[in-house]
Amino acid sequence: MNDKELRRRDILGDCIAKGLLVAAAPMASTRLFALWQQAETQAAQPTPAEVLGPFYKKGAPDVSLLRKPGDPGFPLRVVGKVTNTRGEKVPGARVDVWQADHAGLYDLQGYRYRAQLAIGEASGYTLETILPGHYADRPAQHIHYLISAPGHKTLITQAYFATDPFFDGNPGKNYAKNNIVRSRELVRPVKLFEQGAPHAEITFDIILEKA
Amino acid sequence: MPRTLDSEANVRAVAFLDGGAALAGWCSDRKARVWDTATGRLRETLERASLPPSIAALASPLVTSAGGALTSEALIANKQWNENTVRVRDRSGADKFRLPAGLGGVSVMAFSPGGQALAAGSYDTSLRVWNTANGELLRHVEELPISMFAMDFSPDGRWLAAAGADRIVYVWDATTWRLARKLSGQPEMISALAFSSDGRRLATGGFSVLTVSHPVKILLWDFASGKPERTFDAPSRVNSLALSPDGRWLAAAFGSRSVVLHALA
Ligand SMILES: [Fe+2]
Repeated sequence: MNDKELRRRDILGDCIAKGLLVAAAPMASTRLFALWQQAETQAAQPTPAEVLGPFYKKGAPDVSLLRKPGDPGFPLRVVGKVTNTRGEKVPGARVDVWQADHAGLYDLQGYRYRAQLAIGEASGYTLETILPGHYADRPAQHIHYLISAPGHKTLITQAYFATDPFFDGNPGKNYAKNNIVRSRELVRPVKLFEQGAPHAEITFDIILEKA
Repeated sequence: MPRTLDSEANVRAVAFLDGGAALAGWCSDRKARVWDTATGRLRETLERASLPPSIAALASPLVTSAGGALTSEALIANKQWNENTVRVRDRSGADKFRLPAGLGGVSVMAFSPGGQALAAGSYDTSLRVWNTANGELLRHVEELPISMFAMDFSPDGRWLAAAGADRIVYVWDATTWRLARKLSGQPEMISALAFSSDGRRLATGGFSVLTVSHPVKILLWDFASGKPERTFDAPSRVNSLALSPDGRWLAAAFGSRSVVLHALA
C-alpha cells in the first residue's frame, strides 16, 4: 500500500468517526468503510484497454446504421455513453468502431461495419449493426473501439458478448481462456428484444482518463 | 518448378549470402540455416551470435541495421494506453534512444541501408522515420488509411516502400519524405516486401484475410514501370522474401518448415 492510499484510509476513517460519512441503512462502520472504498475505486477506473489489432482503418463515416437491409447476421444495437473518470461529459470525443461481418471478415477496401462517431453534448451513442462473426485468429466475437477526445488519453478497447459460445455460458470463469479477453468487464450481457424485428442489445459505456 | 528447401524449425525470414550462392533462413529455434542455392543442400546451422553481419538483420524480433551497428525493438510501454516505444541500441547494447511511436503496437520496422534512418509503422496506421544519429523525427506519415505489415528501403536508400492490409505498395522518396507512388495489383493483403539489390525489382507476398494458411500470390514488380512482371503461387501467408543479387532467384519463407526458391533466369 502506498502513502496516498494510506492517507485516503485515514481521511475515510476520520469521516466515518465524525459522522461525515454515514450509511443509508444501518451498517457496521467497517462494512461502510469497505463499501465506500470499493465504490470509490470502481468509479475512478477508466474502461480497460484491449489490443488494437491489425485492421483499424482511418476515415470511417459518421454513421450509426452499420447494417444494410438484407445483411445476413443477427441484428445488434449497441448503446453507451462517453464520460471520464470524474464522471464528466466529454464533448468532442470521437469513437471509432470496427468489426467483422457475420462471416468474420473485415472490410479492408471500404468501410462496411466501420464508423467514426462524433459524440455530442448528450454524450451518448447508438450503433445499429449485427453480431460480429467469429474468425480463426481471434475466436471471441468482438467490436473494436478507439476513442479519442481533447484533453483525454486515447483509449483502445473491445466489447465482447456474454452469449458468445466462446465463454461456454460462463464468462466470469472463461473470459481469460486462451488469453483472448483481458478484462471481465469488457464482456457485456446481451438483452434480447422481440418486438418488431428481433434484435440483441448491449450497453458499452466508455470511461476516459484525463490526459 | 520451384525448389523446396527443408528446415528442422519454422523459417521466419530469408536473405541471400555470397552474391546469391547461399540462402540463409532465420528460424523459430533462434538459429539460422544456410543452404547452397544451386544444390539446395544444407551448408550449416548458425547461432545468433555467429550470424554474418549481412544477415544479422534477419534475426527478428529485433531489427538490426546492416553491419549490426544498431538494433531496434518495439515495446508497448503501457498496456492500458497502448503506447508504443521504439528502443534503439548501439552495438554494445546500450540505449541510444527511446522513441514514442504511436499506439496499439508497432507493425513493422526497417533501417535504411546505411543505418542513418529508422522507419516504424504502427497499428494506428501512423508511420515515423527518425534520424538515428540524433533521434530527430524526419517524417511523421499520418495519411495512411490502414496498417503497414511489410517495409523495405531500396538498396541505394532512395526509396522507402511499405505495404499492408489494403494491398497497395506505398513508395516514399527518402530524400524529401514525400509519398511518390502507389502500386496496386497484389490480390491479397501484403505481408512481405523486398527490393532486389540493384533496386530494379520489387517482390511482394500476400496474406489472405481468410486465414494465415490460405494460398496467396507472390508478385515480382518492375520498379521503374510499377507493373507486376511475374506472379507465383504461394501455399500460405508469405513471411519474408529475398531476391538474389545475381538476379537468378526469388526465395520465400512462410513461417513453416520449408523455404521455396523460384528460378528467375
Ligand atoms: Fe478483431
